[in-house]
Amino acid sequence: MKILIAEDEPLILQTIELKLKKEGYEVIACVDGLDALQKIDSEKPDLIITDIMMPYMSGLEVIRKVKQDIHSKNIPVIVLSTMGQENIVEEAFELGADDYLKKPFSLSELSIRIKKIARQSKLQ
Amino acid sequence: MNGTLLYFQSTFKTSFEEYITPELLLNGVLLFTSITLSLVLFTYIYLGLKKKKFLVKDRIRKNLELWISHVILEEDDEEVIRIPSKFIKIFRNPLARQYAIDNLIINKKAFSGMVASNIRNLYQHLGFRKDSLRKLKSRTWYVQAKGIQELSMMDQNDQLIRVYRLTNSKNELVRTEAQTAIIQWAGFNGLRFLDVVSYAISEWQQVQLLVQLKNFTPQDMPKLERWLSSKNSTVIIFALKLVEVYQQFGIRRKVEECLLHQKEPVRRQAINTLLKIGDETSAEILIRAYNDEDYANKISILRALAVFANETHFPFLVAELSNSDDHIKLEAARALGAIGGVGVLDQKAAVQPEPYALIAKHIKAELLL
Repeated sequence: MKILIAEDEPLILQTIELKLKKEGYEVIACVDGLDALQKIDSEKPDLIITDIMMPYMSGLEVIRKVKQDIHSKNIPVIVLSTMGQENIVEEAFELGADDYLKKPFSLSELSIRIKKIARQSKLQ
Repeated sequence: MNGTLLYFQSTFKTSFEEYITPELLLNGVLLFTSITLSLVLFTYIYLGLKKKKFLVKDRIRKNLELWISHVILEEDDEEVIRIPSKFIKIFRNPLARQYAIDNLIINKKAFSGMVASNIRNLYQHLGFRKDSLRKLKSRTWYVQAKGIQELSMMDQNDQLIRVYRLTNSKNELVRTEAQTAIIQWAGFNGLRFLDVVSYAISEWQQVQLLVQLKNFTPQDMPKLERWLSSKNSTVIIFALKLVEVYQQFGIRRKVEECLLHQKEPVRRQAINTLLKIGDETSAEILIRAYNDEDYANKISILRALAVFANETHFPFLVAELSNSDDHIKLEAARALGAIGGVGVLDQKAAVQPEPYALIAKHIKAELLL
């Protein structure tokens, strides 16, 4: 399974990347929304994990563009939010996000959510 | 024309020679040249040092980031953290230590569970706690504030008493960091700093503390009444917000007393709090306070009455319909509409169509929504 992570904090990005690689996933790491959008187009990931606040293009904008594109609209999206971003998370769901995790989150929780989404995708 | 030119030339020559001797001119040139050279040299050294600092930081980043990520992902928390020898040398550099602490904090904010626990262990194992404690003792306010923040983020709860003493620091940043740390460590029990704080708690800090408290299971706040009588008006305002958010109906009387407080922001917050916890008896008290209030508080009272007034309060609201201020007229009409007084509005409109017919129509439309 190919997972794209968009997170502007390099160390957080690296930690998630390492964890997912350890679990056997193929990981595409992106440092901002624009980078993510370009790689979604070229790499065709099976799942997108995106932070909300990112430079150049926010996570919300990434979801909007992904869900508008006929080639990527079926890619499931997990949103990473922080405290006080409840309204933005709501907006993310309206745009088509599938799940969310509030920072600080446990990496095992993230793994569970990924497995759940992978199972649902297989069923579909 | 030529005469004028000659006159100026001779005058200038005379005054130049009179005031500026060749020695003075030479000294001036030397001084100017040395200042220019010093500036160039200073800029060169400054930029060189800045570049060196950047390169050191970059080398530290490249070396440390991956190692930190590997260590904090370790699933066996019993395993002893082994520090590679090259890092022991790197960590002698204060810049590298601070870089590592900052990165651990960034990760601690993002992760919970095993990773968070590993970050804490690594912070202690690398002796960074000592760095933070040193900062806590610093006399420089921003260093002290940074120390508090690091200890708080790394759950060094044993420092609670030392940090508690700083919750009333004269420096605002130190004070707010200390208050935030105390709540982070002790949840609702940490609110005891409200007993001692004599400096103002800013609006922003109040919001931050309320957001922080959301992470904890609500507990009894036996000192709420005491905080509502504090000499510090911002403590009263914050306590009123606590009453409102945690629905402390038991101390409604004390909240009502705040309506008589000499400071306007306290009275305004008391009105807003009563809006959430008040009942019909509060409506009477608000109406009594109404005439002495300023414009903004009058509007707030009318909005509160829309929630818990009843038909016995119709006369007061009808009287306010005749207020010269249009906004007050509208809020009074809104309150009447909300408590079933649309008929009263219609009667008023029948007697005096201008402007009440329009107001009644507007309120009815709002009620339909």
